[in-house]
Formats: sequence, C-alpha cells, structure tokens
Amino acid sequence: MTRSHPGAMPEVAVTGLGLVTPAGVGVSANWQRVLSGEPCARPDEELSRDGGLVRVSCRAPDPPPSEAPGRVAAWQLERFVQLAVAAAWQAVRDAGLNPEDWDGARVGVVLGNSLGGPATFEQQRDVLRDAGPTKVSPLLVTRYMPNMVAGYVAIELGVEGPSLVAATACASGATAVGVARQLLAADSCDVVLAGASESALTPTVVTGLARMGALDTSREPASRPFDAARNGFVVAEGAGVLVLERVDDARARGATVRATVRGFGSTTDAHHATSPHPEGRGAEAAVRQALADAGADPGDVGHVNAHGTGTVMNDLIEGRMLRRVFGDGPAVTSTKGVTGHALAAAGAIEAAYTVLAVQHGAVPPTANLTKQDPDIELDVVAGQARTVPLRAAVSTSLGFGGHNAALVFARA
Amino acid sequence: MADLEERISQLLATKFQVKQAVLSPEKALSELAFDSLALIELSLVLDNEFGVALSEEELTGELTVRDVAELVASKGAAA
Repeated sequence: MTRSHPGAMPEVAVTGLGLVTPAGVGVSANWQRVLSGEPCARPDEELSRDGGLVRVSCRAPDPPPSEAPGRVAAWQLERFVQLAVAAAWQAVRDAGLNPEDWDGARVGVVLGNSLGGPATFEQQRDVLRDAGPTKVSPLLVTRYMPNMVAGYVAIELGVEGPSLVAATACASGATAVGVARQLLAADSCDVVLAGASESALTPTVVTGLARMGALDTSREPASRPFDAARNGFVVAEGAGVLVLERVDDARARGATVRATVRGFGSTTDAHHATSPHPEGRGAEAAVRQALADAGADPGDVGHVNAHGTGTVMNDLIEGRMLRRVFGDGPAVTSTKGVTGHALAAAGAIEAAYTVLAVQHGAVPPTANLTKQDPDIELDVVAGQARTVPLRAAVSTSLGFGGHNAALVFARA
Repeated sequence: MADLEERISQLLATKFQVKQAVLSPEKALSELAFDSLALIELSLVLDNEFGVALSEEELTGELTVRDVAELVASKGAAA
C-alpha cells in the first residue's frame, strides 16, 4: 500500500480497545466469543410480553461498577451512558493511559449514538400523565439526550478537548472513528476516545423497528447474515471504544499499537429514509473512498467485516457491492451473527473486531450461516474462524438516512 | 427516629449508590455528592417512600441524613 497523498494524513494508531457487548465485557471475552461463532440472541420477556412482535434480543451483561476517577453516581446515568463509560475506561486502561496525569485539554471524545435514553423518557411520560408535573424527574432530559454519552465520558475521565456525538444511525460508530482520525490529523488534540454506544431495548422502540420490517419476527428468530433464510436482524445493545493517537506519539510513549486506521470513507445515498440505494451506490463510493484514502488496492484487503445485518435487502445489496469492489478475494464475515445489531454502536464494536482480526490474523465466522444465499457471491467465513495473515481489513457500516461509512485498518 | 434514619440511609445506598463507607447520620447531603437536581430526585423518592412532600427550600444540601430523618418525621411520617 502506498499513500496517494503522502503527508496529508498522519498515521493513526489504535492503542486501546474497550467493549461491553452481548458477547461479553472486555476485549478477550469478546474476541473469544466472536471467534467461537456462538450466537448471543436469547428470548426477551420484556419485549415479548403483551403480545409483542419481537421474541429475542441480544442484551449485554452489566459491566462491573466503574473504576473511573469521575464522581457521577451510576443512578444518574442512562444505560447507554453506563455502557459507554465502562467501555471508555477499559480502552483507556488498555492503552496504558492514566486520566489522572494526562493533559485533558489534548484529549478528545467522539462517540456515536442514535436513540438516546428512551426508557426514562417513556417512564416519565407515564409519570406526567398519572402523577402530574411535580413528580417528573429533573434528570429526565439529561438521561434522554444522546450527546450525554460524550458529556459523561468527558466528566468521568477528564476529557477537556474536542467532543462530538455522531448520529448517523447504524453508521454512527464508524463515523465517530473516522472523524476522530480527522481531529488527530488537524492536530486538534493528541488522543481521542472514539466509538459508540446504544441501549434502547424498550418495547416501544423495538416494536417500531419491527413495524418497519427490519427485525426477524418469525417463529424461530435468529441473526443469519448472508444466509438464504435470513429474515431481518436481531436487535442488540452495547458499546465499543477505541483509543486513537498519532502513530509517532504512540511509539514515543512506548504504547502497543494494535493496528493503524489507514482510511475512511463517508458518503450519503440521498435516496430513501430506510431503504439502501438498490445498486449500493453510496456504499460502494464509501468503500472506494476509504481505499483511496488508505492508498490501498482492493487486492490489499484480506478481510471485510461487513455491515451484514441479516435483512434481505441489506445483505443482497451490500454483498453485490462488495463483490464488485473486491471480487471474491477477501474473507468476509458479519459478526452480527453472534452479537446481533447494536444499531449506532455496531460500527464501533465491529471496528474493534476488525482491529483484532488484523492484529491476530484471524477472521471470525458468520454465525447461523448454514446455506449461503446463492446471489451473494462472496467468500463468507462460516462454521469456524479462519487463520489468515492480514495486511489490511475493511469494516463497512450503513445507516438509516442513507449514511455510509467505511474504515480501513492496517497491520501495525 | 433511628429507624427512620436507617431507612433513609438504605435509600441513599440503594437508589443513589452512596457508598456505605461514607454514609453516616452526620454527613450533609452535599458531602454525599447531591447537587440541586439530585436533591429534587431525592424529594421524589422520599415522597414515594414516606408520602411526604418536601419543597426545594426545605430539602437542601446542608441537611445531614439525621436532619432529613427529622424533617420527614415532622411531616408526619413514621418509621
């Protein structure tokens, strides 16, 4: 790989990872689970009671109480914020950084979220109706607002540099990582906590997703990306955070570089609120942009962690797009077979998995893949993880609203 | 009163995650990290638990856990 525009973008290192997902708490628990290919979907009584349309979900285990130096009690934090704080703290520790002695003004935070905290909103709407305005919690708004995911991570860890919340739906996590890299290139800061969090598994929200036709509401629901019998996604929650630094800074302080963020592509379909462009035009442009940014040829890419939601349309359109760009070269997987679809957090969680694939030379299998859709002509890894040395790998993320993001990670 | 103090302390520990190590009847709410919004939340919890309405002027950060118990008792709540 050679850069097409040397000097325009400094090499950016991933020096820390933090994960709280249905696959587990922490990097090693997550990596073992996705390599095993064992799905996380479980019956969900909260969603299915009262005749709910949705029978299963992928919930994350509760993270252990925060050891972060901040002082905000957990009761003030909505679950999507708690997951983000836990993942951010893990990532910072993994990077060997200590918030007690860093220059907070040179640390940034860019996190994705799309749905905020609907659980509190729904509960407080009932309080207002049933008990009146003087019984409504003064924390309703700060528990509901999506931006608080970055606000509270900043409070807990002492981040005083740039902060931003990306809301590009299911592309949010990938957008956050790409934008964080641009902040480092612009020298706006020296360290960025980049990632995303989502926890919006309320009956109302999930029913809305089901009514869109996005979820598998069949008798035997499962997350089956690229399978001929796929029937919609399984909704999940989780958080993933990556610590990004310029490679020179990382090496100067003796940090372990897990992989580098080599390229980023960001485009928009401008086509439809929820349906992807039928030819995957925007998604293809994002992948090609990311490859050009990385100075990489399609042949350099040995692995794609696809968006692969398990909906009929996404997988067909994305599968054809990946075939056009890469041929049948790379080992393709969708880790959503294991984790389900954590919406805004998916791109961050999958960015972390792609980093681990590059670092360890291993591609997780796509869970529940028994008969690959014959119209998806890709080398999709099924059954067992595949060991393969990787120079570079791509993670794709596509969101409602037509948001497309692609990231290229390279071996350090 | 001791019973009421104990029940309020338990609420602070369970609903507001105040660590047992720092919790004592002499501690002021402000020392237990209660800001203005958290104080309003506390008044809602006390109302649910004891059926007493405390105004923002009454339930201030200067009150100790013991003061809060006395205030709640003065509004007619029994332990």
